[in-house]
Amino acid sequence: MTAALEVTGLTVRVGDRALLDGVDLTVEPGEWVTVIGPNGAGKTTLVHSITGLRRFDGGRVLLSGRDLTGLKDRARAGLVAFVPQTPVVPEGMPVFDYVLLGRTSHRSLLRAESPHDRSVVGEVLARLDLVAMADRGVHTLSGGERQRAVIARALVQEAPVLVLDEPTTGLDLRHQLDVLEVVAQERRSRRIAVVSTLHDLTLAGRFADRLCLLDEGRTVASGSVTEVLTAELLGAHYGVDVTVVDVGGTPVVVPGPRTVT
Amino acid sequence: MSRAVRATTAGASSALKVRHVVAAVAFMVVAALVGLSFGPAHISIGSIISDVAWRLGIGGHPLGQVDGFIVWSLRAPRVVLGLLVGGTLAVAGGAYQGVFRNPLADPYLLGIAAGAGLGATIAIVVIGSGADAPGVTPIFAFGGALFAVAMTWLVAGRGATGPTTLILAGIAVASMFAAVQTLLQQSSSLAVTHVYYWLLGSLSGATWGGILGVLPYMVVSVVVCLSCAKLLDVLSVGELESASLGLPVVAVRTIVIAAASLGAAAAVSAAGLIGFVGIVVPHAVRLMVGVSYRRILVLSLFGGAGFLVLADLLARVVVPGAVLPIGVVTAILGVPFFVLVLHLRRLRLR
Repeated sequence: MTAALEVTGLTVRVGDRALLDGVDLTVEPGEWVTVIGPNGAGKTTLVHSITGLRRFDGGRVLLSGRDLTGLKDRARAGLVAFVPQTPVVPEGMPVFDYVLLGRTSHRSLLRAESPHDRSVVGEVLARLDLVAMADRGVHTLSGGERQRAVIARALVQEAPVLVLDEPTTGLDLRHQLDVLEVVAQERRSRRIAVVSTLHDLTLAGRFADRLCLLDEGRTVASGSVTEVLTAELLGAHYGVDVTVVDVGGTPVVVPGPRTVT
Repeated sequence: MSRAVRATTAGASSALKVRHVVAAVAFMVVAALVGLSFGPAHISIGSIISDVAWRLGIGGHPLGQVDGFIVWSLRAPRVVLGLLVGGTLAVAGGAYQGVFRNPLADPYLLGIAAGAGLGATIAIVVIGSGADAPGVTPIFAFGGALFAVAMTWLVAGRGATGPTTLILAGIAVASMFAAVQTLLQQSSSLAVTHVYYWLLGSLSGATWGGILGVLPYMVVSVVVCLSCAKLLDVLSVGELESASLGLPVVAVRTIVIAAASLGAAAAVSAAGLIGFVGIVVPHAVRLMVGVSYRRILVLSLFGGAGFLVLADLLARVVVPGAVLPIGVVTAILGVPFFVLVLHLRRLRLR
């Protein structure tokens, strides 16, 4: 079976500094891999590189077996969808139209959208509980609703890979869970391969199949949640003491040494 | 599918609405008729409509020989040029605003005004065109305007570096051109006056021949800009995100800027520098019908056309026996109109 995403030896340099240095990453259809790591580790550089939004200096990215480097914009958008960390919110654009932008790659650029495009958007809006807001301006939505609209836009691209850069930024606990559960449901029901970055390590552990710990542009650990979320690894790479406790089989990361007095 | 979903999928929220187009075209036609009717000799709108009907062979009565000459040979070229220049400038302005994602962008942003100014100055000062060769100045202005935009494009690294760099490059090129223009003008005060009046803008030199000269550029410009309206909507989520959605950002930016600049250069060469149409018209349309460029550009075409004809009418009749510079009128007319639309919108939002 062809992997949805296969990254080998990905290297990005700025001057003589390597932002990414030989990163490997393979994600199968239906699998969720979360990239964690301290600030400046190269997480955003990685997601921008694998979505074709940034040039890289070495290595190879295959999307469903096709080399990213040779792909035109439209073809690429059909293979990988992207949810940015801070989406631009176009003032006054209705939610329906905003989500419809995700269909750009499905028709020749000068053609108007088809009835099929509109029904795909309608279905995704229904799945993500956004129908009641379809005619409202995107800028009037709350943080959680807005993030769901951005995810809806990515989902109507119907790409086999979904990349999310810090999708929970600025959301309260309930909406963080909300957004991640929406993604979890979609990847299960549609076998979408998901790559996300996430700051919250406990949430990262709850939702991902595998974790990839990035530090200074290098993969320093990769594997199952319990293999990567260890006090030793996190302590070494985040530069702080952490305690990892097991709560019903889920590792919970608590900042600070084991005994706080 | 639930009923709610069906409702949304059936409704076309950003598509052009027929009633909007009908209203905009009606505004343009009324403006054109008023423009044909008013002047030193008053010829009623009814009799003009009757004459048009007669010419089309669907009843009506022809105008008298003198009135017919006044309407079709004296006023019509001026009205038609006004429609073309106004419509083109408004579409070009709207397109620029979409590309730069900045509601204050206008068609002269990348050096067209300074380029046309330098071109006209070269024609008037160096070649000595003026009263004896009136056709030369527009050609030089057109060439100068396009040359300036091309310079801006190259200075900014062929548009690959983003809108901000382009705007800064435009400022640099415009300053450079303005300096050279000033230098050339030093030679004679007569030339200064000539250039000044040419740049102030006017539709008074309109002829059918002149209109045919600029028409192809304007048609190409408007058609390309309108075709790209949907892509400008995609671009409204920014460069990075629209690229992730599959938009070839640099290519779209290049094509739209080239097309809008071509139209604006043709407009300037035909009528001088007429400000405000390119900002006020698309902005007013946006406030009335929403942010989709699929609506804004088409409606700006008709709105801008009607607006400029009305502005020219005011320029002709406000001060009896004198013609005001049309650029002055568009500004005086445009600003209060703009304030009114802003105010209405604020009331509606409350």
